[in-house]
Parts: sequence; C-alpha cells; structure tokens
Amino acid sequence: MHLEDSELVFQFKQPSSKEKELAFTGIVKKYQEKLYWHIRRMVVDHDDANDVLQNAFIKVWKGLANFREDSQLYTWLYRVATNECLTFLEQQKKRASVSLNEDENGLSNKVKADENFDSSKLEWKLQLAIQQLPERQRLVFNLRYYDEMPYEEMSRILETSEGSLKASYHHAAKKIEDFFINN
Amino acid sequence: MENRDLILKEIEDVSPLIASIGNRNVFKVPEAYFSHFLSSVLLKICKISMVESNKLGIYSVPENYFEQLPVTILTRIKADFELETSELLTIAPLLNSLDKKNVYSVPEQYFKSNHPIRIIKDKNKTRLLSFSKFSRSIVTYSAAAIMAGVMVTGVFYHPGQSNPLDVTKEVNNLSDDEITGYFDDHSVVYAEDSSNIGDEINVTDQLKSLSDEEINGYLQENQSNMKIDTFK
Repeated sequence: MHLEDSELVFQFKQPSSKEKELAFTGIVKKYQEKLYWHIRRMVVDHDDANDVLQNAFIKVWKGLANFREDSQLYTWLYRVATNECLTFLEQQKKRASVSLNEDENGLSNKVKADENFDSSKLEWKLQLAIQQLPERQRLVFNLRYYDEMPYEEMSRILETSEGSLKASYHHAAKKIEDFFINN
Repeated sequence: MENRDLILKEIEDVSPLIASIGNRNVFKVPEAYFSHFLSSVLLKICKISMVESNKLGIYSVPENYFEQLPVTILTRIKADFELETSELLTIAPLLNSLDKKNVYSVPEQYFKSNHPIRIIKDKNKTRLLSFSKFSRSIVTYSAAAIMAGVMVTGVFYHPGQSNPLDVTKEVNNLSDDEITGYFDDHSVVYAEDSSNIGDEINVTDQLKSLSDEEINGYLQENQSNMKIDTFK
C-alpha cells in the first residue's frame, strides 16, 4: 500500500524509530528512480550517480524531521538531489583544476566511455550536445525534456522565475541544435 | 507531469531536430540496482550513525547536565550582575543610584534612513594618499638642505655677530670731500630725517634754554672729540 507524501512525512516524524524507518523506506522506494535519472543525466557516470543519490537520501534522513512542508515532499527531494549534484560537479571541477587537467570535456568523455555508447545514434549525440551546456541550462533542459516537469514545479526547485526558465530552455535547445549542425 | 504533447509541441517550435530525436533514455543501470539501493542507503546511514555516536561516546556528562544547564547559566549571570552592582555601590554610591538611561539621541529616522547612500557619499570623499618610502626620503633630504642653506647664509650675511663694525673708526678714515659728497647725494633723505626729528625735539630751543655754564661744562667734558668755540 502506497502512502501519500504528507502521511510519509508524518510517519517519519514519529518518535518510534521503527515508524521512522518504515516511512523512509516508503520515500526511497517511491522516489529513488526519478531522482536517480535526474542525477545520472547530470553526472553521467553510474557510480557517481549512485554516490550522489545515496548522499541525497542521507541528507533526507537527517533533514526530514525539520521539513516544514512549505513545499511538496517531491519538490524538496528534487531540490536536495539537485544541490547534491551541483556540489558534486563543483568538487569535480576543483579536483580537475588542482590536478591541472583540462577537464572541460570531462562529461563528454564520460558519455563516450559508457559501455552502450554508439556515436552513430542521434540519442547519444544528443547526450554529447547536452554535456556542452552550462550547468543551469543542462538542469533546465533535462528537467523539461526528460522529466517533463512543468515550469511552475521547476521554478520551486531551482528558485528561479518561470520566465527565466523558459528562456534557459529555449537557449539550451538552440545550442544543442547548433552542436548538431557543427558536429 | 504536464501534458507530454504540450512539451513535445514546445520543443518542435524551438527545434524540430531535437523533437525528432525523442527523449528515450540511453543510459542503463546495473541489474537489480534499485532493488538493492534501499538496503545500501540504510547501511550507510547506520554506519554514519555509529560513527557519530562513537564520537559522542568518548566523553560523558553528569546526569541531567543538559536539563539543568539553562538554570545554571541564568544563576551565574544573576550572580555576576549582583557582584557588579555591589562593586559600584561600594566605590560610588551616587553613581550607582543613577539611572543608566541613555541621554543621547539620534536624528529622527536615522537608523531607518538609506545608509547605502551615506556610505557612497563617504566613499566620494577625497582619498588620502600615503607617502611612499621614496617620497618620504625626498622630503626629508629637501628639508635638511633648506635648513643647511639658511644656516650658511646667516653666517655670511649677518656679520654683526662675528665681525662688529667700528663706525667711528671708519668715519675718521674718510676725507672731508667724501663726507660732503655723501651728504650732497643723500641731502633729501637727511632733510626729511631732520625734519622728522625736529617735529619731535627742537634742538635749538633746547640749547637756548641752557645756560652758558652748562654748555661750557658739557664742552669741557667732550673736548677731546670736538672743538667748538661757541654756539651763540
């Protein structure tokens, strides 16, 4: 039986640790795949995605007791996962700059390193094009194109106006098209 | 989720090429990944909890320490305040009796006013330029050179201190013609000077008021320097 988000949050806030674990299990089972794919498209590599997803759920475990329910649980979980993603990518950039690696094409290389990568397929070429985008545009494009998320929801997750998100999506699509034309 | 057709139409409007590719997922996950994910997260949470509890477990606190802590702190604050009060009462009872009310006031709306503007105004003030080490040394040496110049000039152009001029001796060395020529050249000046003196003291009148004995007595005293027969 699937509980509603508000019921899961309520159950998690109960003093009993058994109740807490039950609620957490329900939340993980309900959202793990959605959050995984959201993260995977950003970090590309499965092991990295796994680390980020686990860290995100650990943050959820630690922070859910203080969740004020100003927003939906789903929105909050996406925000936690997005922040974890951005933190991870930031750390990777720092590591690359410390080791003096020219790692600007790091994500593209990860796409090419995927065991199923096929350069002749447009879907993979689209992935290469997406990895060329700035982080924010990449987030917006993925959330809209793959997760089919309404701008209103996206606005709450990324704390950006809907107009700005629409503009980002438009710019991202144009850049991807340019990539296809020039490559 | 928003209507898929709406999103598809949106991407078709922006980029028909991307719309034609479709949003099929190309990535794959290891087999049974999601069925094991929960247990791996719970295991990690358990490990973290153990580490955190171990960190705390090294030290222990007295029973009911945290429950009583607020009361303990408040008691301490109260005791400190009483100590301060009694100290002032001993040193200056009058001061202790005065109210600590603030007597100063600020202009109305001061704290609500637009402070950034004030800060910008302050920034527009003339900047203070610091002397560099080089500039400081130039100024120091310049000052020293000026002082040396003043001292040297003083020595050469102020001879009264080191070489006193004997006027009587110098005048005695002059011939009568030189003296006469000098007075002719400076007659206007001396006429003016004597007229000025005359305004203040009329020498002729003064001499007339003296008796012949007084004049002769004066001449005898100064006979060595002058030889005048008579004034009258």
